[in-house]
Amino acid sequence: MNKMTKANNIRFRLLYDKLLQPLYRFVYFKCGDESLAQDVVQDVFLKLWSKIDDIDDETASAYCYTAAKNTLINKLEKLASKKKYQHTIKLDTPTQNPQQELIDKEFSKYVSDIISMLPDIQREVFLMSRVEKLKYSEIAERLQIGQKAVEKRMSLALKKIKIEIEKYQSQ
Amino acid sequence: MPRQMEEDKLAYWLENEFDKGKLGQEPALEKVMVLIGKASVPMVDADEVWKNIEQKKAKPAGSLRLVKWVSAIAAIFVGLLFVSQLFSGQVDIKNSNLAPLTHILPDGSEVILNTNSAISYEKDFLSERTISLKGEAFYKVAKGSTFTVDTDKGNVKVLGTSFNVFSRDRILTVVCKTGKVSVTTAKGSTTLEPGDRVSLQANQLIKDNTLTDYIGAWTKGSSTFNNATMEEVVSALKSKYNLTIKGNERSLKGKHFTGTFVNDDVDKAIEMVFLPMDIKYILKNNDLLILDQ
Repeated sequence: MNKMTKANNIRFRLLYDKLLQPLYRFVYFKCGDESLAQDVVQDVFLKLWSKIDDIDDETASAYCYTAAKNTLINKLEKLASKKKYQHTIKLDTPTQNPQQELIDKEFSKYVSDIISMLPDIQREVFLMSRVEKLKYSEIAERLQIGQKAVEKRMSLALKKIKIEIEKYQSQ
Repeated sequence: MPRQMEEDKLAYWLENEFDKGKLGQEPALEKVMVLIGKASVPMVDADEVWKNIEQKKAKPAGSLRLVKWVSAIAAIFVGLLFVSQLFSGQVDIKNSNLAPLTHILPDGSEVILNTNSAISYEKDFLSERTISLKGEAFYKVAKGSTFTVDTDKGNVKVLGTSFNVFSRDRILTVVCKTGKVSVTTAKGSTTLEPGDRVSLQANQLIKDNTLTDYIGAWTKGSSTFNNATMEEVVSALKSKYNLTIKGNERSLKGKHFTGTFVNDDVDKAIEMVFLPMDIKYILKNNDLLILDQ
């Protein structure tokens, strides 16, 4: 059966446009590796294409997130050494003066380190909330967990950050 | 427990107080949140990913794996080929190209093969240096045990020397450039010294001389003959240029040629031979030579 009908192609493209970036961020916040995340989303879309006749648009999103999670787990298992997540905050707004910029740079390095050292599940929720700017309910849906669980992980992450920052500021 | 409540409330605080602009309650955290708020959202190159997906869509996964397997198996076969050359009995070298092909034998001796020529020898060459020849080759033999060239019309034995062997159609010609060469055929045996030439043609063994300069001159881009029979010259032309010879072959009988023909131009080469010999011919399609009366 030839999947390449016009209708399927259009549907696939629309799903791609809608889901690519959120899916990418979803994977990226789990592993912190840009090229790995790109590989995963590519695989996920290929899987979606292979099932394009069986999946309707409503279930496509859930399917993709589940597939992404599993694909990432499989790929990580294959990697010889599990890379330690190193998060880097990429600032895109330049600061006003060089002195401030240096302070910001040091501070942001410190914050990046704190974030990197968070437990995986807390970090993931934190980044989805503060970088991707998702609501707790949206995070809950993507991760397939309850909203209360999201809030709990978020609170724990914030608590840790608070402790570390207070350490930094007392130096 | 107040502490516990505070922890649990941090998520709530963030969304409902900090995000809504109520600042000053958690100064440490606020600083971090402001910084993170400036962070760029990770994005992937949508066009690149789409391109990769399209590529892989066209090639279903099955065939991708097939390609990997094909190259993996090919690699195994190449390995096997090398192994078989290491252990099997024979080495076969063939030159189908216009240009001469040089091959170094296990003992360091050099064989230069002319067009449409082939040699063959046992992998275990060093114990008994024997090599078969079809066509024409020039040999530079390293000193050592007896070195034998086998052709279907006779064989050539040397100790350490350089010589030319021409073995095509019904002609065998051996010319010695340096050293000593011993030739054995059904029509008799002889020993050659530099400049000596022996030729088995039309069931006769004829010995004569040639200038050593001419010997193996074909290895350098043109074929040189010194009082060679026309049959031999035509045989050499035929092989170099993959010609089919038709017509009156008796027009070649009894004629001898001293001269050269080039190895890279069929028209010119035939002209160089036939014009001075005053033998008429027609060359068709660059591969059919019709000899005239």
